[in-house]
Amino acid sequence: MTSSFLSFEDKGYKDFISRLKQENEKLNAFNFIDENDKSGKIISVKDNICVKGMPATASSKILQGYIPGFNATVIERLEKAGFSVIGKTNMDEFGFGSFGLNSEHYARNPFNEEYITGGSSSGSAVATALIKGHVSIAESTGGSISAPASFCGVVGLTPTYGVISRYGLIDYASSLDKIGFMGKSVDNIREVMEKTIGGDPKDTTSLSVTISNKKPNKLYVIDNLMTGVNEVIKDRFEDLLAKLSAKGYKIEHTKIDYLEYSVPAYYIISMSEASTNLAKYQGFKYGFKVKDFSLNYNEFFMSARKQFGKEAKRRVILGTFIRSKSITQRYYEKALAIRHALIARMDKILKEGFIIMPSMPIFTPKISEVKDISPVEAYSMDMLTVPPNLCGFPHMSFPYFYEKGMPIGAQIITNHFNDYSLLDFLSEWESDFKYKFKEEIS
Amino acid sequence: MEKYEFERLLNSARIELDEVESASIEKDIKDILVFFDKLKNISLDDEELAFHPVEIPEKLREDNTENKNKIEDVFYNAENYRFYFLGPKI
Repeated sequence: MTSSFLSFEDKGYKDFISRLKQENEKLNAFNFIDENDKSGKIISVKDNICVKGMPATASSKILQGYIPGFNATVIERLEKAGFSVIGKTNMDEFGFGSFGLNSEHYARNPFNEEYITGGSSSGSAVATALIKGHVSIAESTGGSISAPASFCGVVGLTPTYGVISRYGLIDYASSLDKIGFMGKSVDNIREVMEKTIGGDPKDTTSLSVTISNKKPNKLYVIDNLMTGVNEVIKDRFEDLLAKLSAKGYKIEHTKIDYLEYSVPAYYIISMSEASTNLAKYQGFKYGFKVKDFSLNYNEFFMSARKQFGKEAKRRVILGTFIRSKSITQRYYEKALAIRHALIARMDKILKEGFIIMPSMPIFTPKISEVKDISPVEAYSMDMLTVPPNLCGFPHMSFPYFYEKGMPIGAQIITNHFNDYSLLDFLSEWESDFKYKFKEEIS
Repeated sequence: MEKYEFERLLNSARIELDEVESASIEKDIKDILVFFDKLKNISLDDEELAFHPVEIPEKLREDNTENKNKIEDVFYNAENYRFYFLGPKI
């Protein structure tokens, strides 16, 4: 499917923005919409990526008022290539969430407002569904692109860890964060990806490597990952496999050891890293300011950190605990060993073919159904998105079915640095798949 | 985790909670640690530790001093007075 980006050369932008703002009042896709005229192809950007002169809050009260004076590398490259940023999209605070609900004004699903969007790149998924020919620059740590892409019926591509610079990203977990894309046309996603990939001296973990497109004709289903998946989702997934088999893919079934430990391992690593990354919010440099300079350092720091939401507090407390000297071997080092074990096992399979699975183990839930579930129940919903994220493998969620009007997504994974094969797969998939959206804004 | 350990942990994490939030988060943390304890009984002694998901080559730079920072950029967004950040007493 070919789809071009929306662009406004001389006129029309104000009307477009007015329509967008009207929709945004219902769906909360954006934390900030730029009303200044734009020329060039328009994109939106998750609110944890810095765009010069636009607020960057990561949906946290502690960053209210922070306006970066610089562009993230990904934005710098896209602006040079003729793209314009129209606004900053809603998200779970600092990326802490799988449902999109850890935001003061959480986003709502564009197919039905009673349903969740998925998170943490909730607003990026909604903006992509809403706007004609749109691509949103999102970010994933443990599934923050695949989950909302699946629940909102768009494509979400998470590249190999390191191939896109993280400079200018408000970090959550530095060994896991990856900037990626949401879109609804392979051509648009490819164009944005090609402009942003490549090493960056400002990010020492970024890599200058050749990205390949070796598209295998084998699809591996990981049987021990499918045990917690909803039975009807399993049936729909079987239908998808039959379709792909008819297209010439060979379906193989296999198992991977240690997968059942991937979710706790992911949360142990991500919380440890988050607790150090969030230490920079001390109430005098970024966003929220504590004005009482008579407080001593600890009182000042604690006073600022009251601005964190509940999930952020929970993760900082747990991350601090896990990093304590007497505990680190029990949790953190074991989690790193599990990551190593899983990379080796998945790599072996990915040398032979793609891994394919549903993106999420459940149908899109209503907001009221998941608003008050326990953290452990919520974390467990990441069982399918965590393995590729923990191990830095490029992966892509794509819509493949609509059940009672709501989209269902599947996820394919490929080997490190073979990212373009995902787009070749998508190109083939789009040749006879029709995306469904409510009326798009143009 | 005992109550006193939780209080000590809050202090290390520099997080202050009101009574209601404290009770709820303390319970959540106990449940999450039970979830993490799944890892307790597996042996991974022969596995290396993967600090990054892909190999990151070591990047070195010339040992030259340079100062690219402009004062106005450094203080952008920050509370400041003349050439100093305004912050709490240490």
